[in-house]
Amino acid sequence: MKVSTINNNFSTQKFTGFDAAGVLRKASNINSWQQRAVLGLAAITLQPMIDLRNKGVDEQTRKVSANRSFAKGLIGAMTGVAVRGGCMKAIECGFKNEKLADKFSKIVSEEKTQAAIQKTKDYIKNGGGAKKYASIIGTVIAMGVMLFTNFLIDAPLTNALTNKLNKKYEETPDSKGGAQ
Amino acid sequence: MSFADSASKLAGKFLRYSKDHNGMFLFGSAATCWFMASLAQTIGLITNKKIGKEEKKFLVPQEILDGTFNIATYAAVTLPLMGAAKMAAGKSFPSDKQVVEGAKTIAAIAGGVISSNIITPLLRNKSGVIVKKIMEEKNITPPPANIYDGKTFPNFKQRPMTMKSYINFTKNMPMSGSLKI
Repeated sequence: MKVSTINNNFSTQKFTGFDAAGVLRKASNINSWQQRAVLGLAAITLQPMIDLRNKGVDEQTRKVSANRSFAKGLIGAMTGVAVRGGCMKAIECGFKNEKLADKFSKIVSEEKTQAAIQKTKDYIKNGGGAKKYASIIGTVIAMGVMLFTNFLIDAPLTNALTNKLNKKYEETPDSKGGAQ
Repeated sequence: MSFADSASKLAGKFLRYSKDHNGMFLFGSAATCWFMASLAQTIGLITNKKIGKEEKKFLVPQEILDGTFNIATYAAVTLPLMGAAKMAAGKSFPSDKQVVEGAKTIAAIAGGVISSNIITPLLRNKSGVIVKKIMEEKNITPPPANIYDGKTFPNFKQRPMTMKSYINFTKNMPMSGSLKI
Protein backbone atom coordinates (compact mmCIF):
# COMPACT_ATOMS: atom_id res chain seq x y z
CA MET A 1 0.00 0.00 0.00
CA LYS A 2 1.27 3.42 -0.90
CA VAL A 3 1.71 5.78 2.06
CA SER A 4 1.71 9.50 1.34
CA THR A 5 4.73 11.56 2.38
CA ILE A 6 2.58 13.82 4.52
CA ASN A 7 1.14 10.92 6.54
CA ASN A 8 4.60 9.47 6.86
CA ASN A 9 5.89 12.75 8.29
CA PHE A 10 3.08 12.82 10.82
CA SER A 11 3.67 9.25 11.87
CA THR A 12 7.25 10.06 12.84
CA GLN A 13 5.78 12.98 14.84
CA LYS A 14 8.57 15.20 13.56
CA PHE A 15 8.69 17.58 10.60
CA THR A 16 12.00 18.06 8.88
CA GLY A 17 14.11 20.26 11.14
CA PHE A 18 11.11 21.14 13.32
CA ASP A 19 9.92 19.13 16.27
CA ALA A 20 6.22 20.03 16.20
CA ALA A 21 5.28 17.55 18.91
CA GLY A 22 7.99 18.94 21.21
CA VAL A 23 6.83 22.52 20.69
CA LEU A 24 3.19 21.58 21.32
CA ARG A 25 4.10 19.60 24.44
CA LYS A 26 5.89 22.68 25.79
CA ALA A 27 2.93 24.86 24.81
CA SER A 28 0.63 22.73 26.98
CA ASN A 29 2.42 24.23 30.00
CA ILE A 30 1.90 27.88 29.03
CA ASN A 31 0.39 29.66 32.01
CA SER A 32 -1.77 32.75 32.34
CA TRP A 33 1.05 35.29 32.87
CA GLN A 34 2.70 34.06 29.70
CA GLN A 35 -0.65 34.27 27.91
CA ARG A 36 -1.09 37.86 29.21
CA ALA A 37 2.43 38.74 28.02
CA VAL A 38 1.67 37.51 24.48
CA LEU A 39 -1.66 39.38 24.43
CA GLY A 40 0.07 42.51 25.74
CA LEU A 41 2.79 42.35 23.12
CA ALA A 42 0.15 41.96 20.42
CA ALA A 43 -1.83 44.85 21.92
CA ILE A 44 1.07 47.33 21.86
CA THR A 45 2.01 46.45 18.30
CA LEU A 46 -1.36 45.91 16.58
CA GLN A 47 -3.80 48.28 18.30
CA PRO A 48 -1.86 51.55 17.74
CA MET A 49 -1.45 50.54 14.07
CA ILE A 50 -5.22 50.03 13.75
CA ASP A 51 -5.89 53.38 15.47
CA LEU A 52 -3.45 55.21 13.17
CA ARG A 53 -5.35 53.84 10.16
CA ASN A 54 -8.79 54.87 11.47
CA LYS A 55 -10.15 57.01 8.63
CA GLY A 56 -13.29 57.95 10.60
CA VAL A 57 -11.49 60.57 12.71
CA ASP A 58 -9.03 63.42 12.13
CA GLU A 59 -5.27 63.00 12.32
CA GLN A 60 -4.87 64.37 15.83
CA THR A 61 -7.56 62.06 17.25
CA ARG A 62 -5.88 59.16 15.48
CA LYS A 63 -2.54 59.93 17.15
CA VAL A 64 -4.10 60.45 20.57
CA SER A 65 -6.10 57.21 20.40
CA ALA A 66 -2.99 55.33 19.22
CA ASN A 67 -1.09 56.74 22.21
CA ARG A 68 -3.93 55.69 24.51
CA SER A 69 -3.99 52.14 23.04
CA PHE A 70 -0.23 51.83 23.39
CA ALA A 71 -0.27 53.05 27.01
CA LYS A 72 -3.25 50.85 27.91
CA GLY A 73 -1.63 47.79 26.31
CA LEU A 74 1.75 48.35 27.94
CA ILE A 75 0.57 49.19 31.46
CA GLY A 76 -2.18 46.56 31.39
CA ALA A 77 0.26 43.87 30.32
CA MET A 78 2.89 44.90 32.87
CA THR A 79 0.41 44.88 35.75
CA GLY A 80 -1.30 41.70 34.54
CA VAL A 81 1.99 39.82 34.15
CA ALA A 82 3.35 41.05 37.51
CA VAL A 83 0.19 40.24 39.50
CA ARG A 84 -0.35 36.84 37.88
CA GLY A 85 3.36 35.92 38.15
CA GLY A 86 3.53 37.12 41.76
CA CYS A 87 0.44 35.17 42.84
CA MET A 88 1.69 32.00 41.15
CA LYS A 89 5.14 32.28 42.74
CA ALA A 90 3.59 32.86 46.18
CA ILE A 91 1.40 29.75 45.86
CA GLU A 92 4.33 27.70 44.58
CA CYS A 93 6.38 28.75 47.61
CA GLY A 94 3.39 27.92 49.82
CA PHE A 95 3.49 24.31 48.64
CA LYS A 96 6.88 23.95 50.37
CA ASN A 97 4.93 24.06 53.61
CA GLU A 98 4.16 20.44 54.59
CA LYS A 99 0.82 21.20 56.23
CA LEU A 100 -0.45 23.16 53.24
CA ALA A 101 0.77 20.48 50.81
CA ASP A 102 -1.02 17.82 52.90
CA LYS A 103 -4.27 19.76 53.01
CA PHE A 104 -4.14 20.59 49.31
CA SER A 105 -3.35 16.97 48.35
CA LYS A 106 -6.47 15.84 50.24
CA ILE A 107 -8.61 18.32 48.31
CA VAL A 108 -7.19 17.61 44.88
CA SER A 109 -6.82 13.82 45.11
CA GLU A 110 -9.71 12.10 43.31
CA GLU A 111 -9.63 9.06 45.54
CA LYS A 112 -9.55 9.80 49.22
CA THR A 113 -7.40 6.78 50.21
CA GLN A 114 -4.12 7.43 52.04
CA ALA A 115 -2.12 5.97 49.12
CA ALA A 116 -3.83 8.21 46.55
CA ILE A 117 -3.36 11.31 48.70
CA GLN A 118 0.32 10.48 49.17
CA LYS A 119 0.71 9.98 45.40
CA THR A 120 -0.80 13.43 44.78
CA LYS A 121 1.50 14.95 47.40
CA ASP A 122 4.54 13.34 45.74
CA TYR A 123 3.41 14.79 42.41
CA ILE A 124 3.13 18.24 43.99
CA LYS A 125 6.46 17.97 45.79
CA ASN A 126 8.59 16.28 43.14
CA GLY A 127 6.66 15.82 39.89
CA GLY A 128 6.09 19.39 38.78
CA GLY A 129 2.62 19.51 40.32
CA ALA A 130 3.47 22.56 42.45
CA LYS A 131 4.03 24.68 39.33
CA LYS A 132 0.96 23.30 37.58
CA TYR A 133 -1.45 23.82 40.47
CA ALA A 134 0.16 27.17 41.41
CA SER A 135 -0.57 28.36 37.88
CA ILE A 136 -4.29 27.57 38.32
CA ILE A 137 -4.75 28.86 41.89
CA GLY A 138 -2.48 31.86 41.24
CA THR A 139 -4.60 32.85 38.22
CA VAL A 140 -7.84 32.64 40.22
CA ILE A 141 -6.40 34.73 43.08
CA ALA A 142 -4.90 37.20 40.60
CA MET A 143 -8.38 37.81 39.15
CA GLY A 144 -9.54 39.11 42.53
CA VAL A 145 -6.38 41.17 43.06
CA MET A 146 -6.66 42.71 39.61
CA LEU A 147 -10.17 43.98 40.25
CA PHE A 148 -8.37 46.53 42.43
CA THR A 149 -5.06 46.99 40.60
CA ASN A 150 -7.13 47.63 37.47
CA PHE A 151 -8.28 50.90 39.05
CA LEU A 152 -5.44 51.59 41.48
CA ILE A 153 -2.51 51.01 39.11
CA ASP A 154 -3.66 50.49 35.50
CA ALA A 155 -5.97 53.47 35.14
CA PRO A 156 -3.76 56.20 36.70
CA LEU A 157 -0.58 54.91 35.03
CA THR A 158 -2.34 54.58 31.67
CA ASN A 159 -3.57 58.15 31.98
CA ALA A 160 -0.10 59.39 32.96
CA LEU A 161 1.65 57.58 30.11
CA THR A 162 -1.01 58.69 27.59
CA ASN A 163 -0.60 62.31 28.70
CA LYS A 164 3.18 62.04 28.41
CA LEU A 165 2.94 60.58 24.89
CA ASN A 166 0.37 63.20 23.87
CA LYS A 167 2.59 65.99 25.20
CA LYS A 168 5.52 64.60 23.24
CA TYR A 169 3.32 64.51 20.13
CA GLU A 170 2.16 68.11 20.67
CA GLU A 171 5.77 69.26 21.00
CA THR A 172 6.75 67.84 17.62
CA PRO A 173 6.94 70.83 15.23
CA ASP A 174 5.01 69.22 12.33
CA SER A 175 2.11 67.93 14.47
CA LYS A 176 -1.28 69.48 13.76
CA GLY A 177 -2.12 69.24 17.43
CA GLY A 178 1.00 71.17 18.38
CA ALA A 179 1.03 74.40 20.35
CA GLN A 180 0.10 77.26 18.06
CA MET B 1 -22.42 16.31 53.37
CA SER B 2 -21.54 19.72 54.84
CA PHE B 3 -21.09 22.88 52.80
CA ALA B 4 -17.30 22.77 53.39
CA ASP B 5 -17.16 19.19 52.09
CA SER B 6 -19.15 20.09 48.98
CA ALA B 7 -16.99 23.16 48.34
CA SER B 8 -13.81 21.11 48.78
CA LYS B 9 -15.12 18.43 46.39
CA LEU B 10 -16.02 21.06 43.80
CA ALA B 11 -12.63 22.78 44.17
CA GLY B 12 -10.85 19.45 43.73
CA LYS B 13 -12.86 18.72 40.59
CA PHE B 14 -12.10 22.18 39.16
CA LEU B 15 -8.37 21.86 39.91
CA ARG B 16 -8.09 18.40 38.36
CA TYR B 17 -9.99 19.47 35.25
CA SER B 18 -7.94 22.67 34.85
CA LYS B 19 -4.65 20.78 35.28
CA ASP B 20 -5.53 18.47 32.38
CA HIS B 21 -7.23 21.07 30.17
CA ASN B 22 -4.85 24.02 30.10
CA GLY B 23 -6.28 25.52 26.89
CA MET B 24 -9.83 25.57 28.24
CA PHE B 25 -8.60 26.97 31.58
CA LEU B 26 -6.78 29.85 29.84
CA PHE B 27 -9.86 30.54 27.71
CA GLY B 28 -12.19 30.45 30.73
CA SER B 29 -9.98 32.61 32.92
CA ALA B 30 -9.57 35.27 30.21
CA ALA B 31 -13.34 35.36 29.61
CA THR B 32 -14.00 35.60 33.37
CA CYS B 33 -11.52 38.47 33.68
CA TRP B 34 -13.34 40.33 30.93
CA PHE B 35 -16.70 39.69 32.53
CA MET B 36 -15.50 40.92 35.94
CA ALA B 37 -13.91 44.06 34.50
CA SER B 38 -17.09 44.84 32.57
CA LEU B 39 -19.29 44.19 35.59
CA ALA B 40 -17.18 46.47 37.80
CA GLN B 41 -17.33 49.28 35.25
CA THR B 42 -21.06 48.89 34.73
CA ILE B 43 -21.74 48.94 38.49
CA GLY B 44 -19.49 51.99 38.78
CA LEU B 45 -21.40 53.71 36.00
CA ILE B 46 -24.85 52.90 37.44
CA THR B 47 -23.98 54.11 40.94
CA ASN B 48 -22.07 57.25 39.92
CA LYS B 49 -23.95 60.34 41.04
CA LYS B 50 -21.81 62.68 38.94
CA ILE B 51 -23.31 61.27 35.75
CA GLY B 52 -26.79 62.45 34.81
CA LYS B 53 -29.81 60.16 34.26
CA GLU B 54 -29.96 60.90 30.53
CA GLU B 55 -26.28 60.09 30.09
CA LYS B 56 -26.69 56.86 32.06
CA LYS B 57 -29.58 55.77 29.82
CA PHE B 58 -27.12 55.80 26.98
CA LEU B 59 -23.82 54.91 28.68
CA VAL B 60 -24.97 51.89 30.74
CA PRO B 61 -26.37 49.89 27.78
CA GLN B 62 -23.30 50.92 25.80
CA GLU B 63 -20.99 49.57 28.52
CA ILE B 64 -23.00 46.33 28.80
CA LEU B 65 -23.03 45.92 25.02
CA ASP B 66 -19.30 46.61 24.85
CA GLY B 67 -18.54 43.95 27.47
CA THR B 68 -20.94 41.41 25.99
CA PHE B 69 -19.58 42.03 22.53
CA ASN B 70 -15.95 41.60 23.68
CA ILE B 71 -16.65 38.28 25.36
CA ALA B 72 -18.89 37.05 22.54
CA THR B 73 -16.25 37.89 19.91
CA TYR B 74 -13.57 36.21 21.99
CA ALA B 75 -15.69 33.05 22.32
CA ALA B 76 -16.83 33.08 18.69
CA VAL B 77 -13.23 33.25 17.44
CA THR B 78 -11.47 31.13 20.04
CA LEU B 79 -13.75 28.13 20.56
CA PRO B 80 -13.86 27.09 16.87
CA LEU B 81 -10.10 27.66 16.66
CA MET B 82 -9.57 25.39 19.67
CA GLY B 83 -11.85 22.78 18.13
CA ALA B 84 -9.92 22.88 14.86
CA ALA B 85 -6.58 22.69 16.68
CA LYS B 86 -7.76 19.70 18.70
CA MET B 87 -8.91 17.93 15.56
CA ALA B 88 -5.70 18.63 13.61
CA ALA B 89 -3.37 17.69 16.47
CA GLY B 90 -5.51 14.66 17.36
CA LYS B 91 -5.27 13.39 13.79
CA SER B 92 -1.52 13.88 13.62
CA PHE B 93 -0.65 12.74 17.14
CA PRO B 94 -3.57 10.54 18.25
CA SER B 95 -1.79 8.96 21.18
CA ASP B 96 -0.30 12.09 22.70
CA LYS B 97 -2.78 13.99 24.89
CA GLN B 98 -0.18 16.58 25.89
CA VAL B 99 0.43 17.54 22.25
CA VAL B 100 -3.33 17.95 21.68
CA GLU B 101 -3.57 20.13 24.81
CA GLY B 102 -0.62 22.20 23.58
CA ALA B 103 -2.39 22.82 20.27
CA LYS B 104 -5.55 23.89 22.12
CA THR B 105 -3.51 26.19 24.36
CA ILE B 106 -1.90 27.91 21.36
CA ALA B 107 -5.34 28.23 19.75
CA ALA B 108 -6.73 29.81 22.96
CA ILE B 109 -3.97 32.44 22.90
CA ALA B 110 -4.24 33.03 19.15
CA GLY B 111 -8.01 33.49 19.51
CA GLY B 112 -7.37 36.15 22.15
CA VAL B 113 -4.91 37.98 19.91
CA ILE B 114 -7.25 37.92 16.91
CA SER B 115 -10.42 38.92 18.77
CA SER B 116 -9.15 41.43 21.33
CA ASN B 117 -6.32 42.98 19.34
CA ILE B 118 -7.67 42.98 15.80
CA ILE B 119 -11.45 42.49 15.55
CA THR B 120 -12.52 44.45 18.66
CA PRO B 121 -10.36 47.57 18.03
CA LEU B 122 -11.43 47.67 14.37
CA LEU B 123 -15.11 47.48 15.29
CA ARG B 124 -14.71 49.80 18.29
CA ASN B 125 -13.20 52.48 16.06
CA LYS B 126 -16.12 52.12 13.67
CA SER B 127 -18.76 52.12 16.43
CA GLY B 128 -16.99 55.01 18.20
CA VAL B 129 -17.75 57.28 15.25
CA ILE B 130 -21.42 56.21 15.29
CA VAL B 131 -21.70 56.62 19.09
CA LYS B 132 -20.15 60.11 18.92
CA LYS B 133 -22.68 61.09 16.25
CA ILE B 134 -25.63 59.80 18.30
CA MET B 135 -24.37 61.62 21.43
CA GLU B 136 -24.04 64.86 19.46
CA GLU B 137 -27.54 64.43 17.99
CA LYS B 138 -29.10 63.77 21.41
CA ASN B 139 -27.02 66.52 22.98
CA ILE B 140 -25.47 64.11 25.50
CA THR B 141 -22.09 65.08 26.92
CA PRO B 142 -19.72 62.29 27.92
CA PRO B 143 -18.56 62.43 31.56
CA PRO B 144 -15.25 64.26 31.94
CA ALA B 145 -12.13 62.08 32.14
CA ASN B 146 -11.05 63.78 35.36
CA ILE B 147 -13.96 62.23 37.32
CA TYR B 148 -11.40 59.60 38.16
CA ASP B 149 -8.18 61.09 39.50
CA GLY B 150 -6.60 57.83 40.66
CA LYS B 151 -5.35 59.32 43.89
CA THR B 152 -7.76 59.06 46.78
CA PHE B 153 -9.74 56.02 47.80
CA PRO B 154 -11.36 56.76 51.15
CA ASN B 155 -13.50 53.63 50.86
CA PHE B 156 -10.44 51.48 51.48
CA LYS B 157 -10.16 52.89 55.01
CA GLN B 158 -13.15 50.74 55.88
CA ARG B 159 -12.11 47.34 57.20
CA PRO B 160 -13.01 44.69 56.37
CA MET B 161 -13.77 45.44 52.75
CA THR B 162 -17.47 45.00 52.02
CA MET B 163 -19.31 44.68 48.72
CA LYS B 164 -20.84 48.10 49.41
CA SER B 165 -17.42 49.71 49.84
CA TYR B 166 -16.20 47.97 46.69
CA ILE B 167 -19.15 49.40 44.75
CA ASN B 168 -18.36 52.81 46.25
CA PHE B 169 -14.78 52.34 45.13
CA THR B 170 -15.69 51.45 41.56
CA LYS B 171 -18.14 54.30 41.17
CA ASN B 172 -15.30 56.78 41.51
CA MET B 173 -13.70 55.66 38.31
CA PRO B 174 -16.34 54.52 35.85
CA MET B 175 -14.84 55.72 32.63
CA SER B 176 -11.50 53.93 32.54
CA GLY B 177 -12.90 52.39 29.34
CA SER B 178 -12.65 48.67 28.63
CA LEU B 179 -9.70 48.05 30.89
CA LYS B 180 -8.65 44.45 30.74
CA ILE B 181 -7.87 42.59 33.91
